[in-house]
Amino acid sequence: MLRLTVMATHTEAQLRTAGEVVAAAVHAARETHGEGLPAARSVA
Amino acid sequence: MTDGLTAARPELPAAARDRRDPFAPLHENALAALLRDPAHPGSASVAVPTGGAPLPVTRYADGRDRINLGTGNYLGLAGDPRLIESAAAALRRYGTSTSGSRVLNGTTGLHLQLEEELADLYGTEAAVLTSSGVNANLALLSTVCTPDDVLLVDAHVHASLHAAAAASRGKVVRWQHNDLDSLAARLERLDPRAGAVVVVDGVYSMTGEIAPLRGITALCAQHGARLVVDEAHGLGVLGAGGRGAGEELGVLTDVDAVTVALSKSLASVGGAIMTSRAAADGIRASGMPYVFSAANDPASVAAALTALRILRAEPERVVRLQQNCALLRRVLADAGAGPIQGRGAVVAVPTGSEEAIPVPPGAPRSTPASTPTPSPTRPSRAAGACCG
Repeated sequence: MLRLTVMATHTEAQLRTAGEVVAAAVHAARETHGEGLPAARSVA
Repeated sequence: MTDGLTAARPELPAAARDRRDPFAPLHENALAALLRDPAHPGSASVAVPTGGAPLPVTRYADGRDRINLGTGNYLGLAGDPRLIESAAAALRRYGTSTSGSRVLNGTTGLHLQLEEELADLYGTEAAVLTSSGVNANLALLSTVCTPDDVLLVDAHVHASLHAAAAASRGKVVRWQHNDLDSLAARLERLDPRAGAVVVVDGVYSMTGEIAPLRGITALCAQHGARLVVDEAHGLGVLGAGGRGAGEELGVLTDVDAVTVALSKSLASVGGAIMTSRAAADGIRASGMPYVFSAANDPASVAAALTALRILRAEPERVVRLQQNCALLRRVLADAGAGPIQGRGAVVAVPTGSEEAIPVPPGAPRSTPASTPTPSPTRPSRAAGACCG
């Protein structure tokens, strides 16, 4: 599990950059270790 | 001082060699061993200290700037000049420490003012400051219940609530996380004469899930149970006024006690309990963390007071935070890394791994920084303890 926190003062550009970098890292981790929680719980 | 102080014992006489080492659990702790291992990818992220205030882009002590995705400074007030000036003014007036418990000489006008304004925010009769959010939970739960009463604790509440419940005089019963059927079943099995206290987090600190408070308050009303909600991660985050999950779900008036940490949205340090006058007086009379601990230092109280006033005067900060939380969740979901369902400022992304994700070597200055959260610092399938 990767725990992230958000601030009111983050800019949209910062959050988009962060989200894309984190998503890439998560995909890499899943390829290495397999899926974690069931997809039904992994929703925004 | 060397590692030898904690790692080794002096040569013992023969008669004492068979005694079990009470420090053994510390030496054998698997997570501690992980953090000591510089080759482990998570350890470096934990070890790099910040070199400035926790801002959206934070300067770390290694000289690099990173997008900060690991702070509880949700409203971005930790570097606000108004907080800094109020803290500095309190330092100049009161010094660095009260050097005493609240019940001795540790109370200043700032402490009383902050308690009054926190009680006003939550619409309660009273508020009690404590030196941390952990101590707020400990002060509250350790002073309630008799041995015939029961605390019904969600399995995934913050570690401090588990510890606080264990410190109470009541029996502790855990129920399955956010499962109303599980809570109802345990309430129905209670001795009808027993007192009951239901204990939950408003926002779960490691996943950002929120408690189903409408259903919980209905069950509490049905069974005559008290309700305690830890809003450490709800204050400043949820609800139009930033009061937390209780406000967001419209049940704040059905909550018997709210606890908060001042170290997140209020960008200070400390904790507080908002409850009835009678309960507050009981805590002031016998709550161990209140009676026997030094009072919050005046500078941190002043900073929290200023932050609280900003929270109330600038509700657009809460709106902006909620928009940002929704944006990050959407970006992650669109990129195929959807987080666990939640509405808080904590966004938890399943990785399929028990390991922390490392920051790639040579990553650019825009690389996000987050806090790896290896078990047992967050819930796993087998454990309910968490921190943050």
